[in-house]
Amino acid sequence: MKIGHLIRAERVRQDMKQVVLAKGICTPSYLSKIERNQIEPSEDIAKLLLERLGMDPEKFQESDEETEIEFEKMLLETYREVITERDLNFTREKLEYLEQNVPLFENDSLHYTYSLITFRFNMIVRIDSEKLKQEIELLEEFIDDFNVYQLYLFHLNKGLFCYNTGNVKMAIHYYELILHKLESLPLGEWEEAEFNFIIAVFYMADGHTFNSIDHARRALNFFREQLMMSRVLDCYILIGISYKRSDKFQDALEAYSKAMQISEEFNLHSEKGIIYHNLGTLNSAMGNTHQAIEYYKKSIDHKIDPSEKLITILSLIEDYSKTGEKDLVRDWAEKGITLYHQLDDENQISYFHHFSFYQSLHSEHGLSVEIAEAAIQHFKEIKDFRFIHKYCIALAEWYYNNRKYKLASSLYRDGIRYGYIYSKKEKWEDL
Amino acid sequence: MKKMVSILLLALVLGLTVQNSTASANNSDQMPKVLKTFSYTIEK
Repeated sequence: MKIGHLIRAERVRQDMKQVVLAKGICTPSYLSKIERNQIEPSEDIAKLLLERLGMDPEKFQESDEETEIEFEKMLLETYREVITERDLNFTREKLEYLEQNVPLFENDSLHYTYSLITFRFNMIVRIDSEKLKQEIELLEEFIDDFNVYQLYLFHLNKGLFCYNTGNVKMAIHYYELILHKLESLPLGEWEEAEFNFIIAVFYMADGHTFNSIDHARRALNFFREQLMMSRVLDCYILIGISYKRSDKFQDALEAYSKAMQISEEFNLHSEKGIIYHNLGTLNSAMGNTHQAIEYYKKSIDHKIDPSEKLITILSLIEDYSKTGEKDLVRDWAEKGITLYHQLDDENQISYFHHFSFYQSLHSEHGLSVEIAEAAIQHFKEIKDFRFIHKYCIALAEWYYNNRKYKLASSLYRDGIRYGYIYSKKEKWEDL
Repeated sequence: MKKMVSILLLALVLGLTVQNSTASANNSDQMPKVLKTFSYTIEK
């Protein structure tokens, strides 16, 4: 039986070491050869290994070509359904079904497609990025054996993985590899639209406004034709952000109004939170601080997922800080910190630093240098130049106002240096 | 002291220039999610 790749995938999924799996059954080096399909194990050994992994050996009947063709058809159809549906429970259900009904692949290529598709589903249902990292590394080992479609799936997954771990530039790198070959790839229209949507988000996250709007419009055309209204709504939000960042405020307002209209007409009320948030940042950019604050409050009221409230609480604090409402800054910073602790999600630690900074800045005793330095250090670690710049300048202002000119000058310098990097400038001559 | 004051003035001017050039991007817009369950910490 050629079950090496299955055993390996399941062992890695369970985070089990080769020594542990092999103990009392075979030597670890023998297991290693089995996993690489260099050796075909005896039925007894295969049975014991599968049992230790909690898999039912009976299920792993030799599959014929026809079963594999049927499975492949079902797999690709499930992939389309899951990606277009975008429903967490539906994804979970389908993933479970695939994992329970996976045949014993005689065909390595089908196994690769299966692994790449289930990896994508796992990214949707799982939060454990360490495990996902191991899995993507495992997939990378087979990259030379992938066909064109599998390579596309791999780059698609790798890009998404990079984006979700904060590496936007690397995410764009992988998506541009796909982009250059897009026309020759055997993709369905839905897949192309999905790709255009995701690359539009990546481009926006890295400040490439024009590229983003171009791809968002391409995705929008397909989603509108297919009446996939929640996706149309997402595209309008993206287009609104693009216009806002190009200072075309009226166009941004129109895009958000369209998104709001769709949420009303198609009962997509859960999307109102994100629309109100962006109406808030738009008004803030237009100088309408009070209007912005009203939108942020509406956004917080409409958001169902508590983790989504963090970004809005931060924006609210920023605008209260601008208008000098110290009490409200402190209240909201406190609420934000409490929510951060309730969520208990390390991925959101940046918010803890934002909230702590503002809370301290507007406290009775004034900014704590320790808190400010911890925030700056954190953003240095994650290479978020925008916030290193921001908090260096804020700390410098604090020193300056307290007549600590030497410290102030050094931090202004740091702040400016990171500001250059953020705005992609090398030297002052470039300003 | 004179040197220090001029450094500070230069720093202030440069600081303001950098801030102005990115003024419209300074709020955190909330991007649509690419996956349903988790997203990049701060989506700028």
